[in-house]
Amino acid sequence: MEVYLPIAEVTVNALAIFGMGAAVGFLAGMFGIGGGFLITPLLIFSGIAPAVAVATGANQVIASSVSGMLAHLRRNAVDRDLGLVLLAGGMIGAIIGVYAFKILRDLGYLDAVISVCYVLFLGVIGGLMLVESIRTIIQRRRGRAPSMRRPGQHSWAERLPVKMRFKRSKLYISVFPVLALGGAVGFLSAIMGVGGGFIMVPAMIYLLRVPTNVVIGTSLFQIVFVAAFTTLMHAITNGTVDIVLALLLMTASVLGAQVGVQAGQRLKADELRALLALLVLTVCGRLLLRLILTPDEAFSISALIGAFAA
Amino acid sequence: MRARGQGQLRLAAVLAMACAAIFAGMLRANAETLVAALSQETVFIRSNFTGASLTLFGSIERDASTVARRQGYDVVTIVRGPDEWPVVRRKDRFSGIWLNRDAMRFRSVPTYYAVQSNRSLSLIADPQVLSRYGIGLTHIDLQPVEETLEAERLVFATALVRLRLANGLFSEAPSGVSFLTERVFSTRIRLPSNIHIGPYRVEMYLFRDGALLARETLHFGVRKTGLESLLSETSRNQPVVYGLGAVAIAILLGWLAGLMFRQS
Repeated sequence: MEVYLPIAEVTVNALAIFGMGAAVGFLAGMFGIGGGFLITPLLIFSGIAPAVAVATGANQVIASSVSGMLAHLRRNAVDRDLGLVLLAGGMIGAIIGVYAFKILRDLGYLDAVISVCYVLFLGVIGGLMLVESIRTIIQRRRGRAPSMRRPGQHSWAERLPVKMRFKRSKLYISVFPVLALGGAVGFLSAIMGVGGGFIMVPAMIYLLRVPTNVVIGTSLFQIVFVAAFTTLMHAITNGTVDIVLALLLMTASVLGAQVGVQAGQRLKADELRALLALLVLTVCGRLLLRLILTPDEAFSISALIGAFAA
Repeated sequence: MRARGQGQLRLAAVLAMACAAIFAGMLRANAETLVAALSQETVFIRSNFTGASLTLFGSIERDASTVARRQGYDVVTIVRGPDEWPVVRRKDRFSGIWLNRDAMRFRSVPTYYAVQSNRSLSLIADPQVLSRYGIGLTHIDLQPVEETLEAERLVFATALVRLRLANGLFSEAPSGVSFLTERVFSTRIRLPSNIHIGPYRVEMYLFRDGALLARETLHFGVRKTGLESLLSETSRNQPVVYGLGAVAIAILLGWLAGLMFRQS
């Protein structure tokens, strides 16, 4: 079943796209991730222009994060004040990111920058996660309780001015690291078409020392709004959001996620993390190869894609 | 007398008109004309668009005074899509990774260019003639916006044609025109699914013995229709509405999924 994508201006196999969305949704449900970092590269591999893949990926992230955010809101597991400060930073980051995206696209560096960003982030995070999860698995097999490293009491974040009290997280910290984290994730969201949970969650735990019971909810809260803002900005600035493509992906991933959640419950947490790490490293490796191997065709024509390309 | 005089006057007028017609005919002596029609005037892109195919029928008209030709005619048809100003980029290795480095922008290049003929172009006319009318992939006028060395221009121009050939937007078919009778020909225009919307032009050239005898131009349009048209128009003209719509759909879908998930 072929379907024409009105913004990407190509005809794709709807079943293939649907299958891709369902597979990513399954993994997202299983690992509790948004899946943006998988969707965007997969779309690029399947011949969608990177500019459309990123903007549409951001759109898809909203759908996959909304239900999680609502669930956490109901359980009061969201620090809304912290979320709003992160969001403020995220919007600034997204604005800068979307304009950087436009400039890089005009210069012809966009595809390479997207790939380099993915390789760096996926490589570092996948590597760290793999090492950590394997260590935990070995400790568990030896019958030792995993050592929970407690974050220290003092951090450089506490020495900065303009402090704010976040009651739900029981934190009294400067707004600057919070804004900076939000901004960094917003920027990446705009450039890479991801939610950024894979950076947000560890950074909140280790840098901001946010209690783990509100980390996921607050991160999802920020992701939904930043992804929505990024989608809107891409639509306005680059005209590269393909609703037909997004709809196919969202429907498929939302269904796949339900199956994935159940599958995930049968696996142990550390095994799950090790598998996710391998998955992340595979995507990273595939993108790295694309960057370093001599391409078959050194030339390319800047595609007339998106409303404001000409 | 008066009536007769009027009659003579009318006769003279008719004679004069007939002379003029004959004279005009003599001027156009041994001049053929092309008459042609397309099977479709508009190609609509719908959600199931996988490309389109049009048929062109043409006839070579001769008047009574046309000198009988012993050898056959040659027909070349060229379909040109809307123009764009494409940027061709060349990747180079830069500290280990492949990056776009050099770029060249060309002025007014058709987004679609298909040349079809009844036999190889080189047999139909001399390169100078073909070049004058821009007939053939090697004769498309590819001029860079900024002045460059001819050798460099050629490298990028060749790459442009090669890439367009690879994605089906440029094509050359030396047996694409077939003669049904001595003077009636037809050709199929194949449009791939990645074509651009806009006005398309079909140029027809009639050759004999390497000389251009006649030319004719037809037009057709490629348009998005229905939902596809609505979406791309909205994306272009009301990007805020489009963006908000995209966000709203995503939130609605995520919320619905959450509801379904809670119940199951």
